[in-house]
Amino acid sequence: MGLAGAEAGVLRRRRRFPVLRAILHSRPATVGWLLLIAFVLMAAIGPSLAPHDPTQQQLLLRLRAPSFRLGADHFHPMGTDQLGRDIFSRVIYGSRISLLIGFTVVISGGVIGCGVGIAAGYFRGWVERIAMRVVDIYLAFPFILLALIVIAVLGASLTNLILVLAFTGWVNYARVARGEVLSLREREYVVAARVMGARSGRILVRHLLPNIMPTIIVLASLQIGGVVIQAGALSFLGLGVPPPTPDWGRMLAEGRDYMATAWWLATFPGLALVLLVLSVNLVGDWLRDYLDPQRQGGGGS
Amino acid sequence: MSTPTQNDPNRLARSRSISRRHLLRRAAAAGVVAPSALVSVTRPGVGLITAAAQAQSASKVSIALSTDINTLDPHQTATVGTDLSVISHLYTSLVLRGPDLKLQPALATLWQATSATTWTFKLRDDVVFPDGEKLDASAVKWNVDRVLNPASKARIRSWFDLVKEARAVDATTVEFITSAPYPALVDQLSMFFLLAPKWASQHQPASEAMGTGPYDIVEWVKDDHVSLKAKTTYWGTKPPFQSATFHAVPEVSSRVSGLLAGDYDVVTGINPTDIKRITDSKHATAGAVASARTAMVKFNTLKAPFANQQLRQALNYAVDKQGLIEAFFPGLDVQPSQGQVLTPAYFGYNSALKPYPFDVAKAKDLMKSAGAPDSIDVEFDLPTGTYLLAEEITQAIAGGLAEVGVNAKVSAMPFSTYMNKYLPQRNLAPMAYITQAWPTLDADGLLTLFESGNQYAYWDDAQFSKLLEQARSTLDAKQRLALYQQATAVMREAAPVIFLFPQPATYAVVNTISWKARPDDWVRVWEMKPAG
Amino acid sequence: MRGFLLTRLLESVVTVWGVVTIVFFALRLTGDPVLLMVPFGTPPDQIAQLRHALGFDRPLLVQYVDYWGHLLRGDFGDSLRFNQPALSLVLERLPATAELALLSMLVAVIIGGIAGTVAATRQGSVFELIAMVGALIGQATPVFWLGIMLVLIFAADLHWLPSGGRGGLSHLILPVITLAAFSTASISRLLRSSLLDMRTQDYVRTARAKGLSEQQVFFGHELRGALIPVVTIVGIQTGQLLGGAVITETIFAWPGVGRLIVQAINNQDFPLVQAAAIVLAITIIGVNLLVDLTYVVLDPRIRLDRTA
Repeated sequence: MGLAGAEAGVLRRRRRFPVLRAILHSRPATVGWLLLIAFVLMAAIGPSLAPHDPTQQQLLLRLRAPSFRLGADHFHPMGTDQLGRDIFSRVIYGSRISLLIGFTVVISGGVIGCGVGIAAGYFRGWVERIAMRVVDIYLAFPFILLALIVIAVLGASLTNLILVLAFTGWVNYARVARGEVLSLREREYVVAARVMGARSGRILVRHLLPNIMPTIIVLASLQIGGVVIQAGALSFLGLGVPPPTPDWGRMLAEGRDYMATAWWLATFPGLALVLLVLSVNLVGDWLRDYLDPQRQGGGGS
Repeated sequence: MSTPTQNDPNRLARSRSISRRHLLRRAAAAGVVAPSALVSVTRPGVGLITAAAQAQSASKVSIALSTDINTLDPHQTATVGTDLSVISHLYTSLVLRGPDLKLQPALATLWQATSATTWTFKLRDDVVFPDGEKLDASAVKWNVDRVLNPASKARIRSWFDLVKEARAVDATTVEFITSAPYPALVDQLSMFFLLAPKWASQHQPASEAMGTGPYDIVEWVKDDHVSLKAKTTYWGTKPPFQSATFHAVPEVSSRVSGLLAGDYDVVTGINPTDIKRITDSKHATAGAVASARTAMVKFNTLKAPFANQQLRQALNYAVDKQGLIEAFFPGLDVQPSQGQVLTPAYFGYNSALKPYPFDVAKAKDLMKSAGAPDSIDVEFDLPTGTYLLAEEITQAIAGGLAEVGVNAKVSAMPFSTYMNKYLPQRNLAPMAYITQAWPTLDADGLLTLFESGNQYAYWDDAQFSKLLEQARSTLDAKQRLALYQQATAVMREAAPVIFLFPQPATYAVVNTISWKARPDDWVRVWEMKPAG
Repeated sequence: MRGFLLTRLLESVVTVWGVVTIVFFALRLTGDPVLLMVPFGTPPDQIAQLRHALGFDRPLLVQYVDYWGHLLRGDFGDSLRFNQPALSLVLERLPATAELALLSMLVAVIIGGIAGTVAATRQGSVFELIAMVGALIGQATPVFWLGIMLVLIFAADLHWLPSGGRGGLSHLILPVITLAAFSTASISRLLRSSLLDMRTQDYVRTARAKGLSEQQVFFGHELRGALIPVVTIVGIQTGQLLGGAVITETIFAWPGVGRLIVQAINNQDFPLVQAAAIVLAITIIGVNLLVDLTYVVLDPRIRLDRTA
């Protein structure tokens, strides 16, 4: 999946807005990007549009069905939850939390994983041996077990949740990065650089990193969805984002006891979650095709 | 998870320093008490079930509980709702608490306090284990010895804190010798089930069972179900259902779905919002009873800001107990706690006390005179996954307190973390949500958790503690009652907690069976009857 | 081959040691296990007495060495909560877990395999659209939402299937659907894209140029090569399902290892958590070994000595 960027780049630059054209060329990518932009906008400016304070409770109005009647007590387009909070406002605020979790986990996990993977692949020897044993140990560890213990020790909070997810997610990046580096380090230009006496740091930054980035970016984009879903699963076990933070996974988990009596509690945050995961997956798919010159047009249907 | 139990950390220490005058008074009290403490077997309703129920005895019942049992060993668990409930079908205890919450004879037919520190039990002579071993006085003594022996690591050891020994006087007479008066001993023994000594030393009571109860175990598939079948030769009244299965169904909504799907006949611990839906189905009926478990917000009175009594009182005024009940338990028969942690089910309940009314203005006045700042930031500990609707209730309370300038930051944590903060770390947040009960249903027990020096108290009140101590020195019911009335009044005034309400015990049962959840968590098949 | 297996065995020993060590010390950071073993209200002196009887008052390193001493003799210790040997408590639940996990994987491989192949070979068709939209939704749907929905519809409303518990085939249908949904989706997506990747591989082009029939190229070269990443994912997900199906197990009251682990951690049942972690680690190592051996079958160019 390596990238021979030069040629493809030259080809693309002949027309204006090449990236935009590439996106618009593929209908799934268009949908994915539009959704993702919508979510980012929602996180950025949505809170000023939310009709209610997402944590404000009105016990007398709990479990009200969706209503569009105007007036502060009535306008709940997605209904109210078990504490009488406005679900619409919570869904809007929740986009911040979900995007925050998704991106921070993927970025921090990616940085750690790439660091370990590149070091293992480049230096080989004992560095690689130790790194790969650590990776093995992680892979042999049921995720739930690790998450439960870490939360039990550190306590439940948004930061700790991100920590747990990043802590378990880095392994994938490490394996992929190592694999890529192993195949790259014997390439002529890398070997040449080494022969010419370039320092390891320089080789890593100048030659290896740019070449494995596309693969890592694709992997990361595809993992964002999984991370958001995983955070929701932890909420099911009572380990997710603590109350009263409006987090989709938590809202979904709290709403599960009301699915038969007040369907709107779990449905709207669930829908938001599905759409977000959908959009990052579509964007990830497109990125993979776009960054891989051999596959131009392959996934464009 | 945390089934409350009998014990008192200070009792041993105190008993060593009891004065001569106390001893004399106790002896006198015992002399007066002894004859009237005699309980007769001829009380009506003693039979375990009615004759009508016996008629249809070929049927079976399927029950869904939230967790599987942990063990079949009656001495290694204090969890009433699951472990001990199942065990009570397999084994016999000396006495049993009926659905009316009164003690009934079981193996013991008569019991009485024969001195301030001696309880004497008369036993039936016809109770025999399936393998022929007799359940007699020496078998009872063996069971007590097993718990007292540190080598057996019995989890219920604390129930017998005050028990020095059990003596087999003759085959049908057992004496319990205590190191201090122990009025609730008989209540405590209603949860103490008796193994067969010889069998137990050759088998694994944790995973096998051979008892004298109305049922025998058929199989225990862990985390799935325990199935029981009625004994052919049972010394007591034959139970109404030939076989019974206890399923472990952790997810609330799955229990309800299973009930509606016909998989289960009886389920407990359902979400109050599902009650209407279940009853509307015409297939089953759902409801709730006020349990003996009281929900409260515990203050850490040992440090600021809640060392201040006025501030604690202010918060009691600031919480709308009735509003919480109407929101979370709509249509259920739940009343706010009457200014005490005891419910009417307890010995020592004070019917003269009234709850703190919901009065924001009064709360603000009190806060002002307490010299509190306009806005107070406090942590509010919440154990997750343990108590009914705890997360919702805690957040609603925090929301209400914001009205009077108390910003309670809810800090949710697993129950194990919570308990570690509570006890060894002694680091409970200024406010903590908790529900407490005491299975003996005696003030001596639940109130002891608030006594000075008790690790569980986080409250240090000399007057309250002195009253408890006095009450503990006598077996005289009247005198004890009077002292507990004073103690509860002191506690209402000092407000070491925000008094909330008894936690409702929710349940649902198919229309072909009649049953009601019990305030004290016991789930017993022989109390269920085929309806109509 | 023998050298490969020997290396793997040694590596596995290191892995298991690492898992045991991490679990052992991490658990001890969660606090005092004795608190949750005794009834609420038990006085501290009795808690201390029980702590002593169970040996939890000894220095950590002493406990650790002692644990290994017992472990090497095959003694995993007794569960604190159940008072029974921890290992047998885990092994008892393994069949239920394996049944659910393997069946779900089988369903996922079959349906995901067909969907992925159809999507790749019939690009632009309605089949591809349905398969890929279905896969995206399958990957984006939270497991517990799906599980509870299925129970509400098929058990509570329609009375077609049991709501939970382990029994005959009918008890398996809903949990398998719940568990297989995500894996089916990821397998079909992965298979489709790796099949498309294979098209451009030199040896596939060569095979086609040599005049092999389209079927021969597909089964002999394209599918074979495309299966390698799929096998990797199947391996990883099987490992996860064996220990991490806790949500499905909870909703369907399925007596599996996942629920046991969660309960054991919540109860601070140290010996039980340790035993479960060891059993699962060994199982996952076994699955990974199978995956590596499958690589060799699929692609003769891969030699065992350097598989990562």
